[in-house]
Amino acid sequence: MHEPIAWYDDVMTTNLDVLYRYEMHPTESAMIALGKARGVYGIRKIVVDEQKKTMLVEFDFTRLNRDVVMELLRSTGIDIVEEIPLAAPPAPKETAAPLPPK
Amino acid sequence: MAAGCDRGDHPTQLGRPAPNFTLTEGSRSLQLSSYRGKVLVLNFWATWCPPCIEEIPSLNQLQREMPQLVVLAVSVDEDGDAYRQFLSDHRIDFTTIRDPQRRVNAMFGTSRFPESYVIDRDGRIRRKFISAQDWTSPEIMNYLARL
Repeated sequence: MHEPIAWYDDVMTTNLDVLYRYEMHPTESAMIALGKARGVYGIRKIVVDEQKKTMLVEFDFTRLNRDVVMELLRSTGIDIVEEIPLAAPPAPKETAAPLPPK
Repeated sequence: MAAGCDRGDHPTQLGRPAPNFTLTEGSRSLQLSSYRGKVLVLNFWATWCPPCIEEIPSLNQLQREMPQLVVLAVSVDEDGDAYRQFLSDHRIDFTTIRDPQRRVNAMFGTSRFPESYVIDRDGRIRRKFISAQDWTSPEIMNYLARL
């Protein structure tokens, strides 16, 4: 598992972006609950991508941690399946092709 | 749990009289001004807010260790059933009342949770705490004991 990327703005905040995948589309009541979740200290932004079935949460990692954020999302009734690594896995090292015979 | 307090800009409410409010829940009515003469920790919380839940044990302990002080929690839960269920499932040693219209937190300028205010014996706001705190930390307990 690769660590997600931490995104910083130009004033060097302590924000962390974590991407979650959900299975079932959130119900109306879950979306309302998600709106309330934005009122929790430390939650900066929640972006739902219904096509990709993902939810990007930007939070202040000095106030919250991943477990608390996951708990908060699950408490809304949203069917969170997994956290998706934001950092791309390192590309495999290419082995040098043998030189053709002279 | 955030250890600091008064983060960010100096809150403009500090030193000013706390806005008085009355909340009624069923047959129970509660008025802030009735606590005049006591140091009060006014906490805004909700059952759906994990950091709010996180600080409940230390608020319980604070209330037990400093019974001369009043911990008053105002819940912004709209769902009364969820609120009552939470109270029956968890031990709460301080006073809590529900304000589903979010009227009181708006009077204090609070829109994110948890947030707490320390109100002195004269009814003035002395300190504002944002996010969850360890209310039993020596720094906070010494501060409250000196008020």
